[in-house]
Amino acid sequence: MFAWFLEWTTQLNQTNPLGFAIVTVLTMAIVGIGIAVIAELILKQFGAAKSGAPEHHH
Amino acid sequence: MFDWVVHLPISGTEVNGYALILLGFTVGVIGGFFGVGGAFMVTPALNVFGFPMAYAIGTDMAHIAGKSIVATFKHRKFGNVDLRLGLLMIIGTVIGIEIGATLIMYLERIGSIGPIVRVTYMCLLFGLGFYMWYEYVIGARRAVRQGVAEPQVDPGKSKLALWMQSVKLRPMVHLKVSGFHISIWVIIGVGVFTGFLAGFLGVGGGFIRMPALMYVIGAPTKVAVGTDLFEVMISGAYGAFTYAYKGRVELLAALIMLIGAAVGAQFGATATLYARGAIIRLYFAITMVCGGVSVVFKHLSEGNKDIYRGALTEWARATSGLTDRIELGTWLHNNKAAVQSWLLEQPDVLQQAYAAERMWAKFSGFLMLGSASALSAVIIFWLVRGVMRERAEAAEAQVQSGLAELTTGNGLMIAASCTPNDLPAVRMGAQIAVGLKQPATLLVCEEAGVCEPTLQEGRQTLERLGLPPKVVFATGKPYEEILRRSSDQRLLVIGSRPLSGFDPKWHLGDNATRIVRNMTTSTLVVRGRQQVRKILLSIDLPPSQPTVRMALDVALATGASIELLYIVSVPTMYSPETPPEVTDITQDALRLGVQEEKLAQLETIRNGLSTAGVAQATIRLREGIIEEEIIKESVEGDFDLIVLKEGYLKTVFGMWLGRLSTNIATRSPQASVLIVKR
Repeated sequence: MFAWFLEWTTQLNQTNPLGFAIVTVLTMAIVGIGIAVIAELILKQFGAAKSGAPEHHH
Repeated sequence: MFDWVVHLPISGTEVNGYALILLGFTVGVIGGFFGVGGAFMVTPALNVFGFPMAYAIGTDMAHIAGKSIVATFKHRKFGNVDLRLGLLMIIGTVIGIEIGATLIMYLERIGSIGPIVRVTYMCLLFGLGFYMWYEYVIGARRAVRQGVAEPQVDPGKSKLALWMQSVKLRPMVHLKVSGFHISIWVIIGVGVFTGFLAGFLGVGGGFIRMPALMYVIGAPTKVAVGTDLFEVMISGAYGAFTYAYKGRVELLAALIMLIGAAVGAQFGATATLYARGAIIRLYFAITMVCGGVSVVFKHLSEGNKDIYRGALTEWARATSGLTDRIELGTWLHNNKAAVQSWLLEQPDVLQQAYAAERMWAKFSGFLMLGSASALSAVIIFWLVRGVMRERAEAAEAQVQSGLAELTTGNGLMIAASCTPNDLPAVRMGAQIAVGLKQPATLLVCEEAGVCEPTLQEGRQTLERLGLPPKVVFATGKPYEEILRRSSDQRLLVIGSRPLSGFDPKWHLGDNATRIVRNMTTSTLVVRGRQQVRKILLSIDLPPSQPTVRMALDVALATGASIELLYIVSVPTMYSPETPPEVTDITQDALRLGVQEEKLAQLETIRNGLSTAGVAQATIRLREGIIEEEIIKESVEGDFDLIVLKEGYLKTVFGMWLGRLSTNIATRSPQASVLIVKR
């Protein structure tokens, strides 16, 4: 899937610059937010109390 | 083991994947901590890794776009992003960048653009770096003289910032997060200036804006960091778009770097909570100076390049058939063997210049890479030390606070904002205040309307019980006034307001909802009942000591009984049967799989409550969805008050489902809810 995505974006870079630009920005935003959520959960587990991370109630 | 070579299909180069992740992580940490994009570090480092310069810039921009989203959201959560300030700055920045870029075009036409830009860059980095360093040293010396532990320098009070804030050129804007009024023109003007420098130097400009926000506009350090990141997010997205449009972004490399950067940005942003503003500025100053030294190396490198550039370009054009400057640069980068062969045929002067150029370029890149790694290690150290200290302090506090100890506070505040439940709130508040022998304040919010009957009743009830209240009239927005004025109180009591057309149990009222979402102290939301006879204490293990103490205090003040409710959380899709009538708590624990150790903890708390004088203390175990079970138990047991700590749902998706305590306060159909601030 990822290999296909890379191949597709490489082709897009050559054939449709505007499409490649949009895909680049969207990919970065989506991946960034996804990683942020995971990192937030990890920080929460390590108990960075001041991080504002949601805490377990039970 | 560390030979993960990544082939980059667009530029046709190969790099080490681990190096990319590490670079992303280190710059992510630094970016999250200082509020900068970090292009001035990443671009030379990528170039050292083997990226052609145009791809290094484009890929850097793309990873900054993703990383700064993460860091901005994190800072926004900490309340460090002044959106109004950021948006106004952007207007000025865009204008400034255009002016800077126009000047660059002019200089390009008349020649010698490179040296002018690099010298300006050096002056700026060294100037800013040494000034901030000097400011830290002065602050540290003053701190030693005054005998305080840390420098108290506050750039928000710099003469320039105070003067800027005193300019009354309309329209004025109130910056809520930063906490002052300032002319819009001042913000836009500063934006134009920083944007001009960014456009002129061809950089993102985060490292210019951050100090400008502090020293010129007067924003607090952490707000400057957060607001700058907001701007970096927008400029990074634009930069990524425009470079991708020109085909100069290696998406795979940007994604690999983003993995490291997004995690690093989390650590960096969180580390700001544990570092003092003065320390942030000191590290920033060191980064600036390192950046300055790196540009000096770059300047030396470019000086040598100028010696052979003309001959090399002429040969490359003839050999490759390319004319575009960027394409030619990429071709040269990817045909190093051919360049080497050509060099061997050239005079010694050119060969020496080429060798010197490569050497200084590498020095420049490695210096930035090394300083970025060292700085991120220091920042991570701050974070780890801060978390460990905080944990140690919390553990110490827990040991020192006995269960039977009555918490001290500045009293109890009953807020009257003309809700239908104001009267019950006054009566319940009076009962608790008298029982606790705490001074009571009646806060009347005039904007919501002055309810004379409530005011009279509250005053008379408290006076009759020998506790004459202090009555305070507030004129601002009710929820803001209540939050602000209750921050130093031990307990805030507010009434809920059912809206017409809504089922009362599903709505707290605008003010009450805002207050419980942003509460600054423990808050009791009164639903309608005026006396407390039965308390449902929702507890988790290990227990929150302040919550247990608060329940104990209220029980002692009102003579109420306490039921300790411990819920075994089960997945949302699983719907447990109605719990059987409990006869033996040990068997019930066995049935629900509650460990002996946990049951023993619950029994210790119950015994502690009984010993402290609570009329009746019992334990109740349930299983199911926590929120649902608390509500069900409060209804089935006919409880008057639910006590729980401020907190969230225990689920991977907890952060999207919202706060458990807020949800309980909103949904509780009959029992009032006391949310204990952590």
